[in-house]
Amino acid sequence: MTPLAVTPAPAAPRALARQRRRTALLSAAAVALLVVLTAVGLGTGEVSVPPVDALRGLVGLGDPGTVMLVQELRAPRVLSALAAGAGLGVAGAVLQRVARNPLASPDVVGVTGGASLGAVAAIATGASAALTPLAALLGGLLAAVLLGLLAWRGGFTVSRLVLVGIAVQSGLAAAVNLFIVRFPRELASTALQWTTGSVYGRTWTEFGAGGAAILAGIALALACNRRLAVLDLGDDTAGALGLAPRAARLHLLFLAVVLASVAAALTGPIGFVALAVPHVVRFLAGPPTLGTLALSGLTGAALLLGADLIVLHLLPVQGLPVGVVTATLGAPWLLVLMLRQMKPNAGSTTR
Amino acid sequence: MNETAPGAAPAAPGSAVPDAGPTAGPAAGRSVPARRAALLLGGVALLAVCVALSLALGSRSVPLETVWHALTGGDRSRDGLVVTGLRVPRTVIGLVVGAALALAGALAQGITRNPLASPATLGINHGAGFAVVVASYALHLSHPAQYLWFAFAGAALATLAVLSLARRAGDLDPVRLALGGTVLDAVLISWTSAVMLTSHRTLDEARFWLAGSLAGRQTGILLPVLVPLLAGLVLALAVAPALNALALGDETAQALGVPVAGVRAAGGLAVVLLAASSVAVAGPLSFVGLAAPHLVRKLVGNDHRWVLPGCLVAGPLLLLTADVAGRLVLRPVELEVGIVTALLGAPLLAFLARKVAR
Amino acid sequence: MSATKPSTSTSTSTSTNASATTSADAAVSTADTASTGRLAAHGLTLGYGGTVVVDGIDLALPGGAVTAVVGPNACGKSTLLRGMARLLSPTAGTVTLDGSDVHRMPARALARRMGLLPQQAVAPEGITVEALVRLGRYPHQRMLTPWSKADQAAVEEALARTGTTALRDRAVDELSGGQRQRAWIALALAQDTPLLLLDEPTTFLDLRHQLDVLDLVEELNAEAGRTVVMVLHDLGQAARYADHLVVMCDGRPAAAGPPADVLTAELVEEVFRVECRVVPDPETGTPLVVPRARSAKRAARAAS
Repeated sequence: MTPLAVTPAPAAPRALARQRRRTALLSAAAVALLVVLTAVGLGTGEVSVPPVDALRGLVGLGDPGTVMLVQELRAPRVLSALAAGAGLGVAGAVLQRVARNPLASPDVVGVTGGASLGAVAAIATGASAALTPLAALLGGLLAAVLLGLLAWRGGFTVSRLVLVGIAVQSGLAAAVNLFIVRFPRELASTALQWTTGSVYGRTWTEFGAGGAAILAGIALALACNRRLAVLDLGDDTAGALGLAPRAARLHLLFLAVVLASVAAALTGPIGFVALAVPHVVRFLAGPPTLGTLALSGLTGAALLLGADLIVLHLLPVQGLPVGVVTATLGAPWLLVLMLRQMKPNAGSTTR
Repeated sequence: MNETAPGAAPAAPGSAVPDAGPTAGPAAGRSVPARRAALLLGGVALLAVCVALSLALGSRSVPLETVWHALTGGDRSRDGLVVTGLRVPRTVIGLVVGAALALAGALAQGITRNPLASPATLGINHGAGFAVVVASYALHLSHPAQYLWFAFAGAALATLAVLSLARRAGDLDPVRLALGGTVLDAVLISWTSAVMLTSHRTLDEARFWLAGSLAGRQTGILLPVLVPLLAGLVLALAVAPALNALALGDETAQALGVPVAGVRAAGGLAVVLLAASSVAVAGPLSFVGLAAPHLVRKLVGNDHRWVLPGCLVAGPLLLLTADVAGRLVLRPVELEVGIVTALLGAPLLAFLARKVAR
Repeated sequence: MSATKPSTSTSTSTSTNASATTSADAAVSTADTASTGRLAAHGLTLGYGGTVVVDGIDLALPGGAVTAVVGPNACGKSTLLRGMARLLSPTAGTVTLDGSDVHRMPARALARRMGLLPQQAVAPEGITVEALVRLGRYPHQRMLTPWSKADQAAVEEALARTGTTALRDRAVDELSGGQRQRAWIALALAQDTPLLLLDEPTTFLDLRHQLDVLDLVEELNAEAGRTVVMVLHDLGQAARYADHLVVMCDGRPAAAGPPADVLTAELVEEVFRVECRVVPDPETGTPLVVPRARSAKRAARAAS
């Protein structure tokens, strides 16, 4: 070997630059899609508004009637879908990377079950509907704490977190089921609607708090991207690079859990967005980078908003929760992508 | 059971161990088969106690004497009718379903070499649930007996779908199995909710079935699934020895002359037959399929030739205990056995996961 | 390149450090010029759970030199390396780097002075060589600082030194074992530390790739003035490439010093329980361990 006599870098654009460009293009496309979906979401309904007027109405321009309609009635729903989708997408991307498990998602590790149980318990006590999201947030966080306590054995390992998470999720789901079986019919319906995830009837107050928290969470996740990348190299290498792997992993897991819980508080636990989005992004844009993390947020937002529009305008049955559509759309995609990825020798390589 | 039976007597053949009854046999020499046989007998005895309790206890408790008279046909009082008309079917169904679920769980864990596998992870419960909800919505069915074939078909189709997703080059891939099961489950759950939200009548009727229960069914509900159950049992016992070799890893098993793919296929088929039958009869039940094999393995070791028969005892034992508990905790209201098992199953799963994952 | 190595350079050699500093080196290594990477253990005890693996040892490794740690299986050589790299907290004693306690340094500060190639490194799926090597700059970056020219220069230098520049766009999981190992070494090089620890860098490699890696180590030491401490299995290779040899046995160093002084037949017999002859390597003159024939048949065949 003559390591010093190497040919200079090839003239063709290098892989990193190529991926960066590709991610940027995809992000631009996702933003454009989001704008279109937002315009459609704000413009359609019982009273139709042209998409451009709807967008103008959102920022307070144009006919006062339109502004009122768009800002007061439709904007909270559309923006909630956007924020929750983005939050779930980023939470899923962070969780899957930290857990090194393609199946890790808020639905699997108990956050979803906790949020559902919190909400259902609030519905059961007959508290006002405004308290349901708060109870959901609390439930999600409590589930995460429960998971932490159960999985702690002088430290955490990723596989234990995921497996114990599955157990926590199944226990919480059983408790939710207990409520639903015991409820009178109307409450059971409300509870079921809520636990499947829906953006119906959101208000500015709910969106304001949730949206701000999600935005902050995403910003923090993006700022932590380098840590994520270093953690990917394994504990020993991360340690050698000056990152305490256990603490870093715990912080990042906590961030993902909070993001997912806030999203669940905003829209109810919507399945599949957090699970499917990271895989879709990886398929489109390649191995994870800062750009793909941002793209996960955009894709999640587009997926959830698009699914909500399908629920509103394309489905023959009214009043279905958006979670049904995300699951139906997400599952085949996810299966195809992951089965294709799992070639015999794919996966992590050991030297 | 009788682990600390009298004395560490030397294993002199024929030497009398006077105060040791048949269940305390292992004291003499502690030979492994003797100990296992003793455990099996002890389990059967416990199961008999459980059956008696299941016949006697409930929102209206009946003395054991009355139970006996009712069973021998002498008692036609109200209590007697409760026993023969309600509790006997319930107990018999519990025995059969518990055994089938436990066997299916042991097989699923054996063929996937995954200690966390169980019928529930193969999409069986939610496949059956979705089929039942659709049947209830479209055909206006409302009784467990009417749901039977829909549940069976839904469960079997879901399991076959998961197993075929997991197939690769004629073999089962555990990661794909977990993945396929999780994804399919999530989709089926959301579709089930969708149907129930569309029709309040369906929600009202199906949610009780979805909770999983042994009550409100007659013994006759078992007749249609008798053939699949027996076929599943035969298949299970036939592959039991091969599962021992499979536990050493696919390559070692292959080297030992075990047709790995064939064993997996037969085992998978047995799981489908057993689990689909039980979910068709009783609705979705978790816990038993997961817990029974672990309990049995703890007691008799890892030899599948003993684990599978052991599950035939341990499964009903767990299910009937859960059912009796469900009748007692909130008396006079009964808690569905499906909810009891799910609530019991989660801590167990968490405990196992803690142990399994380093 | 020449495989001969003067085995007398165990004295501190800051001179090599200065003479071999290239322009790219000067651009990236700033505050670390004072550090020569002298590692030392003082009463160091390491273990997992209750079991003691390394038992209260004192050891000083020369700066600016290549040190090889050898020993039979389970003698604690990898544990010692992990303890010195701070991947393992000592149950007693300290590890010092140029006099300051390694376990009291901020993690990033230490990572700017000491790089490590772990034994079992797992590359994330699909990551390219360049993306992998760029992660070596992590200790030099703050949370929001952008990628700098100095970072890029260090990456280019690491790629060039390890001969992986042409592989920069390839996915790490597609590379051969030897290429992959060089990519991982490049990551540790991009970290731009005066001291480099390598845990069994030649395991799983065939003979040619083993020699490639060891030649690279030698070059890093001779041209870039890096201190290298590595765990090796092959005694002959250790003797050829190391200036300083530490022979571990049952959690303690059985001998330490220049290979020519340390590697004797008596020592190998005592430590490895293998009867052998030590002859001069026909290529380099360094000690070469030749095990004695154990069976009569093979001895007879050799005699005929």
